[in-house]
Formats: sequence, C-alpha cells, structure tokens
Amino acid sequence: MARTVQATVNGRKYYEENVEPRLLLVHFLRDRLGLTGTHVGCDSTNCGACTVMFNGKAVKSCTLLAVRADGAEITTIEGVADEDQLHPLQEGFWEKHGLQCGYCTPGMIMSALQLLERHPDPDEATVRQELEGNLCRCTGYQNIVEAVLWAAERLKSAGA
Amino acid sequence: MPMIGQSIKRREDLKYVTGSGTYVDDITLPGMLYAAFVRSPHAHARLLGVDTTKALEHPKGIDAITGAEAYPLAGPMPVYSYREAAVIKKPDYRCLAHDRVRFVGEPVALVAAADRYAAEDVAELVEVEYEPLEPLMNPDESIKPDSPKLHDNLDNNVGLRIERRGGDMEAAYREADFVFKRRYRMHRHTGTPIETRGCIAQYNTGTQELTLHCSTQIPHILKTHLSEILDFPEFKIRVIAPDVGGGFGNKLQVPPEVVALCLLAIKTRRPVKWIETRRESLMAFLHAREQTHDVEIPMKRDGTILGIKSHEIVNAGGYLDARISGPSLGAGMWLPGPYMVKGFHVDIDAVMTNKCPYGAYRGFGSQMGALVIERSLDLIARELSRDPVDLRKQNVIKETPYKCVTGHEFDSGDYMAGLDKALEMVDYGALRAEQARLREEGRYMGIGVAMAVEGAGWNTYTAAMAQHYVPTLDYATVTMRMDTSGNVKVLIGDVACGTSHATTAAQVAADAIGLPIDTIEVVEGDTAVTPYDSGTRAARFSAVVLPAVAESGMALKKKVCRVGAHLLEGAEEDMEIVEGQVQVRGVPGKSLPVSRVARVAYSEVATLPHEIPAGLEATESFKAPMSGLCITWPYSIHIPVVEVDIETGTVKFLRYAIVHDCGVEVNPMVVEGQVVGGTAQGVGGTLLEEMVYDEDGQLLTTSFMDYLIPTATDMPSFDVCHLQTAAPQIPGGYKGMGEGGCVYAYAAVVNAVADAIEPLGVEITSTPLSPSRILELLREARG
Ligand code: FES
Ligand code: FES
Repeated sequence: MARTVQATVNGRKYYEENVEPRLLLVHFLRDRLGLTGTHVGCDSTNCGACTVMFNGKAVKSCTLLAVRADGAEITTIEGVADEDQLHPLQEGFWEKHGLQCGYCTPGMIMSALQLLERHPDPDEATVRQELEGNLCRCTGYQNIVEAVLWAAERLKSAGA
Repeated sequence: MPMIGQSIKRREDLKYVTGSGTYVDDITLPGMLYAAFVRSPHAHARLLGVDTTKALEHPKGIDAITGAEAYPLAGPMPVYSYREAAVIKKPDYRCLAHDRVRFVGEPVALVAAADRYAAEDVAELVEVEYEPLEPLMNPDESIKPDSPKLHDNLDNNVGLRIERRGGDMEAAYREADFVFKRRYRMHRHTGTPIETRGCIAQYNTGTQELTLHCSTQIPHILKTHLSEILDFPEFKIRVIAPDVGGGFGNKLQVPPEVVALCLLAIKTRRPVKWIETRRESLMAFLHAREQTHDVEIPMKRDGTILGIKSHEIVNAGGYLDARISGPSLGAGMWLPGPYMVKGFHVDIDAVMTNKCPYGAYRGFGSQMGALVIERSLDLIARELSRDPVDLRKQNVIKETPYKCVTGHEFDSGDYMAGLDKALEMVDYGALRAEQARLREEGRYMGIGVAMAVEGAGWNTYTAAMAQHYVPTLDYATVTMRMDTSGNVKVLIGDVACGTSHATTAAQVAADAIGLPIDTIEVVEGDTAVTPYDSGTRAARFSAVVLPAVAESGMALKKKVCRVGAHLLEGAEEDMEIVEGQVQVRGVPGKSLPVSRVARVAYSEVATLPHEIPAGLEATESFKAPMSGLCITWPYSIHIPVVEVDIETGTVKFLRYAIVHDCGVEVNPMVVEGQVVGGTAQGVGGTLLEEMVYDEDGQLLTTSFMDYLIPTATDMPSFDVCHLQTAAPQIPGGYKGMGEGGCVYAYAAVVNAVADAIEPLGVEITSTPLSPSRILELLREARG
C-alpha cells in the first residue's frame, strides 16, 4: 500500500504521496525529492556513498525504507553548508584535495560530520577507523584523513 | 606569477563538496524509461529461446529486445590489434547473446519499464531456456589443441597471438652461466569505480539524432564505434559524458549494454536509462590482470641479466574486448623493466574461457611485466647471495635516452638517482639491521623494492583487424573561445574522471594566454561542442592534451594581440598580455583590458582593418612524437616496508616510500593525489581483491562484501618524493602520469611480503596475498 511521507529535509518541509513501501530512502531522496547529491555505489550496504544524517545519526540511506522517513529530520550533503558558507569539512576536502572523482565525497562528508561530533579532536587512527564504512577508489584515503583533521582543527579554533 | 607548477586548489571541487555534481544517474529526461538486463546465470550454455511475452504483460513492462532481434540491427563489438599481432579469427561478440552464453552475467535481453524497480520485476519475467554446457575456466586447459571450442568460427581457443622479439636472445643464452626459470601467476581483479556504468540513450524522430548521456572515458570514440556498430550516421550521434565517478581504464570499454540500450531507445522512441547495479558490475563489467608467465632469464654468475623470455597466457574470458591486446602486450613489453638486457622474447596467447571479458585497467598490464622482472631479481639475488638492491644497481640503465631491446626509447631521467633517493627515504641500511634484529625476536618485517619505467600515451593500435575503426592517441586538438567579456572557454574532447582537468588545463591556458585563471573555464565531455579526441587514457592528458592547450592558447593570444595592436597603434610583435591587460612591451601606460579588445573584436568589427577577422577563437592541434609504444616515459621507485603476522596472515605497512618522476608537474598536489590513489589501488589489488569463480563458472565475488576493495584502515600513509626531469620531446616537458602508482605497487608489495616470510622457507610466485593465502603458503612451507 502506497503511503504518504512527510519529512523535513535540510530544514525544508517535503510532502510526498504514493510512496511505494519497498522504495529505499536513497531513491526517495534522489528520484522523488531531486536531491541527487546522495549517491549509490553498491547494493550490499558496503560503500557508504549514500550516507545521510537521519534524526541526527549518520545512516546509509540504502538500508532504510522511504516510509520510515515519515516525520523524520534528514540532512543530506545539500544541507551541510550554511547558505553560501561552506562547512569546515567541505572546505577541508577542498583544501586538502580530499577528492578526485567526487562520487564518494558526499557520503564521506556525512560520515565525517558524525565522526567529529563523536570525536572533536580525533587522531589519524580514529579518523581511519570511523571512515571504514565509506569506500573511496580514487584517493587512497590519505588526503581524506588530512581533510578531516584539518576540519577538526578549524572547528576547534572556531569553538575556542 | 606563472600558474604552471602551483598546487592551486581544484576548480571543479565546489560542486562536488556541495553535492551538486551531475553524474549520469542524476539526469532525468522527460518521458524517460528505465532499463534492466536479463543476464545469463550459466557460465556456458546454449541459448534455446528467449520469450518476453510474460514480461510485456506486466503493467509497467513497456518494451523489450532480445539477442535474436538485436542480431541484424547491431554489428559485432570492435576489437583492436597491434602491429605484429597475429589474430587468428575474431569471436562473434554481440551486444546481446544470441546462440550461446559464455560467461555468468552475459546480457541476453533488455527490458524497458516505467520505473527503476519495475524494470527489475519485468526483467525477471523474461523466460529464457538454456542447455547448460561444460564450462572452460582454466586457460591452461582451453589452450590445448583437443579442448572443445568456445567459438565455432575460431580454429581453437586462442583469440589472439602476439610474438615480439628484440635484441639478441640467442647470444644471451650463449653467454649465460645459468638460466633462471619460474612460472608466475597473477590473479583476476579490476578497477571497480564507485560509480558503476550507466547511460541514457535517446532517439529524436524529428532530427533522427541519437543522444547519449554516458559514464565513459571516451565520448568521441564511443560515438565513432556506435556509428559503425549500428550503421548510424556519425554526425547524428552525440555523446555527452557528464561527471564521471571514476574510470580507471575500465570505462574505456565500448559497452555491449550501451549498444543494446541504443536499440531499445530507437525502438521505444523514448529516452531509456540504464544504471548498472554493483552485482552486475562485478559480474559483467571488464575484469583484468589474470595472466601466467613462464619465464626464463639467462644470467651471468656476476649478476648480469642477459635477457628475458616469457610465454604469457592471458585469460581473455568469453569474448575479446576491444583492448585485449593492450594489457596483453603491456605485460610482455614491460618485462625488461628499467634494466639493460640484450635479448627479449615474448609469446602471448590470449585464451578464451568462460569468464567475464578481460580489458583495460589502470597500468594496462605493465604491472605484470614489472612483477615478473622485479620478483625474479629478488629470487636471483637470493640464489647468488646478493643484496637485491645491489643487483638492481648493477643492471639498471645508467644513462638516458636509452634504447631498450623492446624498441622503446626511454626519454629522460636518472633511475639510479631515483633509487638512491628512495633508499635514503627509508634508510635502507638501518632497515636491514632492524629486520635482522626483529627476526631474532620472531617478527617478520619485509622490505620490497620495485622500480619501473611507466610509459604514457600508448599509441600502438593498428587497423590490422580491418573492419573496425581504430583510435590513435598521439595527437590532441583544443579550441579556445573568448567571449565578448574577455573570458575564455577551453574546449577539450576528453573527460575528467577524477583527473582534475578543469584545473590543470586552466593553469596551462592561463600561462599561455596571459590571463588570470578565474577568467578561464574548461569544457569537456560533449561531442557536440568539443574537438575530436581519443579520450582520457594512457596518461596522455599531460603529455598530449596539455601541449595542445598551450598551442591553442598561444594562437588565441596572437589574435587578441592583433586587435590590441590596432587599438593601441603599436606593432603586433610588440604586444604582450599580462594579468588580463594587452600592452605594448616596455611602454607603461599603453595598455587596454582584454575585455575591451574582446568587445571590439565582436561588436565593433567595422572599425577593424579588413584583414583582421571578427571574433576571437583559435583551434590548434599537437601531434606528439612516438618513442616505441609510448610517447613519454615517466618512472618510479616504490619501497614498502611491511610486517607480516604469521599467526593471522595479515600484512601491516610500517612505511611506504615513493619516488617518481613525471616530468614537469603542472600541479604537484594533483600529481601526488594520483600517485597515492594509484598506489592504493595497486596495494588493494595485491592484498585484498580477487574475482573468484568456482569450477562451474559461478562468480563468488558479486558484492563488496566478497570483493574487498581497500578501506581507510587498510591503507598506510605514503611518503612521496617528486623528481621533475622535463620530457625533452614534449613542449612544456610533461610526461603524463596517473597510471603509475598502480604499476609499481604490485611488484613492490609482493616483494615486501616475500622478503618478510622468506626465512620461513616460503617462495612467492603468485598473487593475491590475502591473509588466507599467506597462511596457506606458510603451511605449505612447513610441510
Ligand atoms: S549505496 Fe548505500 S552503502 Fe553503498
Ligand atoms: S573521490 Fe572518487 S571514489 Fe572517492
């Protein structure tokens, strides 16, 4: 039975009728809401390209059904910047060359957001461990780690 | 300040970090249908019938096409060959199977449905009748003369035979004190870009145009091939490559799936989108690397390598991919490495089996050549009780340019100095002492050394197989168009797939014209607006495309100066452009902004003398000189230091030092990103990734759960040292890079692991080196 899903995504209200029960959240975001920054890289919940913030927690949006999003608060990569002001993580990826093809980047940034919430002052090993669920085929991860450490520094000095 | 040489931030990144990139699956066209393939569950079977009736009864099932329907509409898939390659006969490779299926995942039919999920449902309703046949999985078996044939029109299962000879192999054997012999086996793995393949095909009945949005590295070449395969006028085909989520050579493929998609778009008169699932991708996108080499190396007791000979067997899979000869020859022709050898001899057989077709993947086979020579050097050093580095120093090429027995002319660089630098980075002497100490404690540390000359800008295709178009990689054409405000678009027929073209090409253009970089923008990927180009491949962007950018920029500058000279009443040859101002050299104050010149050139044309043409646009080509199979010869030395845990079989990196030389670097940050990323891919390919088939031909690694690509915790930090020896034959001195890391890592990591566990009596001659494989080797050694 198709359902109606009402959700807040990136601070905006969305109302979608006729949502098939089997529709995955990632396809709901991409195909129904047009938020194509969230990507799909696998069909076994391994790659993390689809990571979004769901009620404050980083989740792989290919593992959730869209109907679960009814009443939820979701942040996707499109909602990470504050208007035109990039989030320090976005700046960090840019500054440190933390991306090449960019396909894994939105998912990486969403996972890193949660990482920095949990570990405001992470070391390299922590960053690597926390990003284990996100695959990148281009960078070898080195600059992704640098990018996250750069952002952590930035956030710390902004908070201080 | 010149832009070339600056590590400026990438100009393409804002869209990616904000989620506003546009990959093919991000595009939706009005009236678009979704496609799904019906794929063979058998490795080998006769196809008795395909029935789409039930599928089309599904309310969302719109249309379908089978192999039998496609057969008269689309010709065979292309195959290129190389000079001197003997191709016996070509397997009949069609976009959809029509008589037999020859690997698990081979497409049999294609359906179109109203939405993404329905397409899968509809595909499942297609009824296919198979008569299973015995699969041939082992090339050593299928190469035998009495083996059943996989393709009726071939004489046997050898799809391609190449024989290459160089120097004097007979003399090498004559002078030898002994002949080192081994068999090496490299396993099957591949590039797996995180974005799988995908395409939207659309046919416009009014204009009779076929438009494709396709994740590809070769929009122009794809267009040409589609025109041939579909017998469709080339100028009525437009291929647009949007943002591409990784290519790694895999996306050089002319996908049979895309041909079938075009047929369905023409049939339905509606745009049809196909996005490959990961499972499909692992089964049916190209595989790579799997080879064996039976090697002989005639040696002198004093450590002199005299020659190298190999019989190389490539497991080509069920059909020949267009580029089959590339990675085959790529391995064979790289066997001598950066060493002075007298004789060279390789016989290559690409053998048909019931696996996924074998194609291009970053490094194009050269990692296998590097593995064979570098592993052999370590084993020979052990036999002669020599230090492996010492043996390399004795044999390495001391001076460039150097004419290799393969016919390659290595252009420039100091390989010995590179090796010394890498040894210094890891403090080799101290490491060996440390290793001895650790061994006494029962810890197994290993040092791997590998060095290789890489080769950028392959250009060896020939039309030997006549009926197909054959791309050539040694030239590029670039158009520069200045608009009425003085900003410039640089039009290039390539596609960036993580390769930073929008930044590096803009850096070169800014210097060539004399404009601030923020007034320059690079446009790629659309065949309707960019000049013809062979695509993003073989590390040719720096060596071939960037010189064309410079030429075209200088031509545009000349045009701007001509108009400027008229306006400033100066001589054309006295004009210069500095920071966006056209000025008379040495005369301060006599200047105009480029924007003013542009305005005149477009809208005040009547004020210009008759000989000055209207508008500001230039198109120039650069044709690179060839040296052997390639255009330029970047090189690198890798020294990983590992510790092997003999209880668990896991490999931990303690250090990883890389010295590399790709000539003049336009953007060192980007270069380092490519070096590190490529190395990571090589490390993953050596230690983790393997395409595993069972004996019935079923692929066991159909998800990222089983096909393990490296994660952040699997990877070490890499230390990179940049040498920059300008390529003498390329304006700008660029050598091309990007494949590199992936070429050397394989040999270096295998040598490191081997060095670690060698005291336990293990000899490594095959890959992968997964924990379970290492434990198995240790068990075997214990007996
Ligand atoms: S698409 Fe969700 S984890 Fe890969
Ligand atoms: S940047 Fe390409 S997959 Fe990470």
